[in-house]
Amino acid sequence: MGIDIPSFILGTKNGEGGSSVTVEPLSVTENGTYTAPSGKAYSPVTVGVVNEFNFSHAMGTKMSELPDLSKLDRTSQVLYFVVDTAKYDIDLYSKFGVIPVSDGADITVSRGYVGDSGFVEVESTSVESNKAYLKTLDGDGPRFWVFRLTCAGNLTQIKNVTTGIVDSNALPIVAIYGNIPNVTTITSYNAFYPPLVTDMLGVKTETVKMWIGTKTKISGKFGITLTNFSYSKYACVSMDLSGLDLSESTTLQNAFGSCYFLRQIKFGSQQQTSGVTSINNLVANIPCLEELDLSGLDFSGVTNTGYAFQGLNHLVTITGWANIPVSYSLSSSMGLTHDSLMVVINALPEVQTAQTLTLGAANTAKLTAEEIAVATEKGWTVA
Amino acid sequence: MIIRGNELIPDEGMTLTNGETYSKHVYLGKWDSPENWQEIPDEDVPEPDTTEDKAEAYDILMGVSE
Repeated sequence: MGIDIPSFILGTKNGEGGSSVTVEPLSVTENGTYTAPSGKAYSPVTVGVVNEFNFSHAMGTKMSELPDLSKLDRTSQVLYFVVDTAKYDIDLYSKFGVIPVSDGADITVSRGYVGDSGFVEVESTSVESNKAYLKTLDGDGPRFWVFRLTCAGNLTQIKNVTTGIVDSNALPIVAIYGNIPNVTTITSYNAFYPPLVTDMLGVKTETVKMWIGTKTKISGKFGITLTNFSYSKYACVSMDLSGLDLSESTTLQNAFGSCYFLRQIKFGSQQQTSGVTSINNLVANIPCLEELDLSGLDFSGVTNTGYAFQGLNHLVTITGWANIPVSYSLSSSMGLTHDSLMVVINALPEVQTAQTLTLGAANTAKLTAEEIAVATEKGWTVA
Repeated sequence: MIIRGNELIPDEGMTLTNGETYSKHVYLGKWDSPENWQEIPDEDVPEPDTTEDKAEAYDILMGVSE
């Protein structure tokens, strides 16, 4: 299922999306665009399974019509680079030398944007290795380009990911998607925005590099260098952070909060996080997040949860949970499955002072008295 | 407020709060007590304020935020 992200976040179509009131779920069974009835917390939902990635007819359409990139074909070595040209006010036609034509048209790129060591050369005129599709958004407003690059041979390394358009200024790549199972290193993301958040001080860059190459599911892997991580994370669709080393982290505050496109995040099972004391906004305000696994995290030292799980309105599945010893709330995730709720309850540690697990009425209604008693007997109040 | 075992149920039109969280049905843990919870009118329950978050999201999506 895809989500109309801007409208969802802004609540522009139905006024007050994103609140924590109880609503009836909108059930859909076929692809299409659905607008929920008016009322609090309803947001438009677009449902679509994307099999092809074609922007050639997308001129003038809205960002919300971007396909669900997480469902792109990953059976062959194809990379997709989504490039935001808004900040550079680039004349796409004259300076980039691109002529958008009909379906599947090949274009000419003035400079290579991937590879400086021969692993991938976009400047090739090969039809199969040099395709791009153009998407212009909202008239003269922000523009996002999506480049599709079919990789020849066995791609193992990407260097100097840059679009190098005008005077060596690199365009900000806001998203990379693709199936590149053999890539072990991506470096020099000099096209990324400067970091906004600097809380991930404990992350070791050399382990971050291993995000790609150790995982078969590659979708929106970013932040190969620490300094670039914080902003680029915002464009990720899926994160598997098993390769991260968090052993030196004392806070995960804001670590992944507001990664608006994230649908899935996994931290891995071997994380050393006993030194973490704050998880405020850890994964807060991720309206698309559907699955979360915290099973690899040791949160026994956490004293501040703040808004760690606020705004996870579409979170459905929790496959593993951490031993958070102080009060927190999951009440924004009204669609949690019964099994997910039990994962949380079973992971609750024994506490010696009153702590509150706020699940919200919709979630507590899914539990039996006996199941709730599992929490209360550990010292937790369930609200 | 109705107290039934370790369950607290507010009167109609009211919500329970311990000052940090709000609920229509509370199951007290073994260290908690009804005295820690009070009723407030539903209309006094604060709405989560995500205005700034939404604005930030929009800026990021539209490419105007750094």
